[in-house]
Amino acid sequence: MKKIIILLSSAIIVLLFYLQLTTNDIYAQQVTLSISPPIVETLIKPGKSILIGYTIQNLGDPTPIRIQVRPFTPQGEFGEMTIESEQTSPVNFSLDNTDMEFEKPFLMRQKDIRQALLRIRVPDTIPQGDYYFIVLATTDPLSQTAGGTSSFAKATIGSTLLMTVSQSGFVEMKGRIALFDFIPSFTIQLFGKRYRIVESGSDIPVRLVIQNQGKNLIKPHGEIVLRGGLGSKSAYTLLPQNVLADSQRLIHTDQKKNTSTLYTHVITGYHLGTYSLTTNVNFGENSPQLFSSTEFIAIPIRFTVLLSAVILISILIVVLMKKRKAD
Amino acid sequence: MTDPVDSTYSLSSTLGQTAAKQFESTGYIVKAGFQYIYSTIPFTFSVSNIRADLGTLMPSTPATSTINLTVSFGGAGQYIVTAAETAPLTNFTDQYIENTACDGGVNTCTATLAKTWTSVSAYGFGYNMQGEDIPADFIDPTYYRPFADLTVPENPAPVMQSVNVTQNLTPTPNPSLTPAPALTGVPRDITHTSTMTFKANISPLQSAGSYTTVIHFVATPSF
Repeated sequence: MKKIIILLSSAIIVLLFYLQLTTNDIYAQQVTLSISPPIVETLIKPGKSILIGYTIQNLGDPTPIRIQVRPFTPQGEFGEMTIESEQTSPVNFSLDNTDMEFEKPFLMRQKDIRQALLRIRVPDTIPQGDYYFIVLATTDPLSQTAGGTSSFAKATIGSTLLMTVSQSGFVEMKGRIALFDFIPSFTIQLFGKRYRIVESGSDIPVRLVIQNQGKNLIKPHGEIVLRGGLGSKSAYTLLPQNVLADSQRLIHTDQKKNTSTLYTHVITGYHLGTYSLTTNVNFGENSPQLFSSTEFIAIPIRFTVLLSAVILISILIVVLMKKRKAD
Repeated sequence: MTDPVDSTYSLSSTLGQTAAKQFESTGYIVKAGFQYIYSTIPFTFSVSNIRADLGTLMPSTPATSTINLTVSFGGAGQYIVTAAETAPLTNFTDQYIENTACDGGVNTCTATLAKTWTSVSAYGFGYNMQGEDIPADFIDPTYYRPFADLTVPENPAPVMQSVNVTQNLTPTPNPSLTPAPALTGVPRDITHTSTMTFKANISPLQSAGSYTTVIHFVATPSF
C-alpha cells in the first residue's frame, strides 16, 4: 500500500513537472495608467523656476515606468500634435524626487500612486514666446521571448504643458477667423447670386476654424447664432479651446452630442425658409469682436420631389383615363 | 459665406488685475486642468493585454488576435491615441513579415487609410479598429491598415480620437445637498473603448520562426 502511494505521488509530481515544462506562458498583462492634471498652462518670467506635481497611477498590472518630457508642435486643425523624439528646448526640466529620474524605469505595482515633481527652470536669456511640452509616462514592453508570433504593446500616457514666457506679462493676441462655413445639401446659381440650400430635416454641420497669427496661445470666446426668417434665434457657446501660436484649430461649441472632431457644431431640427448663421469671436477681455456670417435656405426637398412626383403621376393618370374615355 | 469683417487684428492684452498682481509678485501663474470644465477624474488609458498572440502562422491562413483600448477622461477635453510599430514583425534572424498593403489595386491600404483585406493570397501584417472614437475609414471588420513604421520613419497614426469622452458633461443627476435627488439619471459615460484586431497572413515562402514586434500606443489629452 505504501509503495502504491509513493508511486502515485511520484507519478503526480512527474506529471506536474512535465506540464510545467510543456505549457506555454500565458500573458494577459494589462496596462492601465492615469495621469493628472491632463493639462497645465503657465505664464512665467525668464529666470524663474516652478514646481509642478504630476500624479501617475498604475491601475493595471505591475510595470516599469519611465518619465520623459518632450517638446511638441501642433499639427493640422483638429488638436493633433507631433511629439519630438528628443528634449531640445532651452527650458530646463528635472525631477525633484529622490527615487525617480528621467528616462530611468522605476517599478509601479498595482494601484501604486506616484507623484512626479517636475522642476521647470526658465533661463534668463530665453526668447519670449510660447513653448509647448508633453510630460510622458511610458511602460517598458514585456520581454519578447514568447513562442509563436506576437505583437507586444508599449503604452504611453501624456499630459500637455503649455508655457508662455513673458517678461512683462503682456501676451500677443493675434487671431483671425480662417473659416466659418457649413455643408449645404446643394448650391444653385440664379441671376448671378449663389443660393445655398439645405434639406429641411437634415443635420447641418458647421465648421469654425480660428487661426493664431501671433506668438502666444489664444482662447476664443463667443458664440454661433442661427437666426430664422420668423424671428427664431438659437445661440451656441464656443468652448475656449487653446489655439497655439502659429497654428489654426477647429473650435467646438458646448454641444454635448457632437463628438465629431470634424465639425464645430451640428445644427439639428426642422428648418424652413431663410436662415442666417453668424459667429462672434473674441480672445478675452477688452478685445475686439471678430465677425463672420453666412446664409442658407431650408427647403423640404424630399417632400417637394415626392409631392411633384405624385402630382405628375396623378395628372398622367387623369390624362390617360380621359384619352381612353375619348377613344 | 460673406467675408469676415475685421477678421485680423493684433492686440497686446494685459492679464486680469488679480492675475497681474500675482504675476508681478511671484513671476509666474500656473493653471492646471481644462478651464472650461471641472473634473477630478484623471486622464486614463488602458490596454487590455500587452501581448497579442497570433500563434503559429500557417501560409495563406490569416491569424488574428484582439486587444481592447480604453480611454477615460472626466473632463470634456479632446484626446488622441496614436499607434506605431517600432519595427515590422521580425524573427531572430532578422527576417520580417511585410506590412500589409491589404488586397492591393484599388484596395491598397496605407498607414492612414484602411481598405479591405479579405484575400488569403494577400500577405502581411496589419490591424483593424472597431468600437468608439475610431477613424472613419475602418468601415467594417474587413478593413485593415498597416501600422506606421517608426524605422522608416513614419508618423504614428491616430487610432482613437474624440473631442469629448464624456457624453454627458453634467452629472446626472446634478449634485444637490437638499433634497437628495432621486437617482433616476443615466450614469455618466466617462470611458470609451475600441477593439484592435491584429492580423497576419504569410506566404509559403516566409521563413520559419517566431516573429515579434512592439506596438507603441501614445494616449494624450489635447491642448
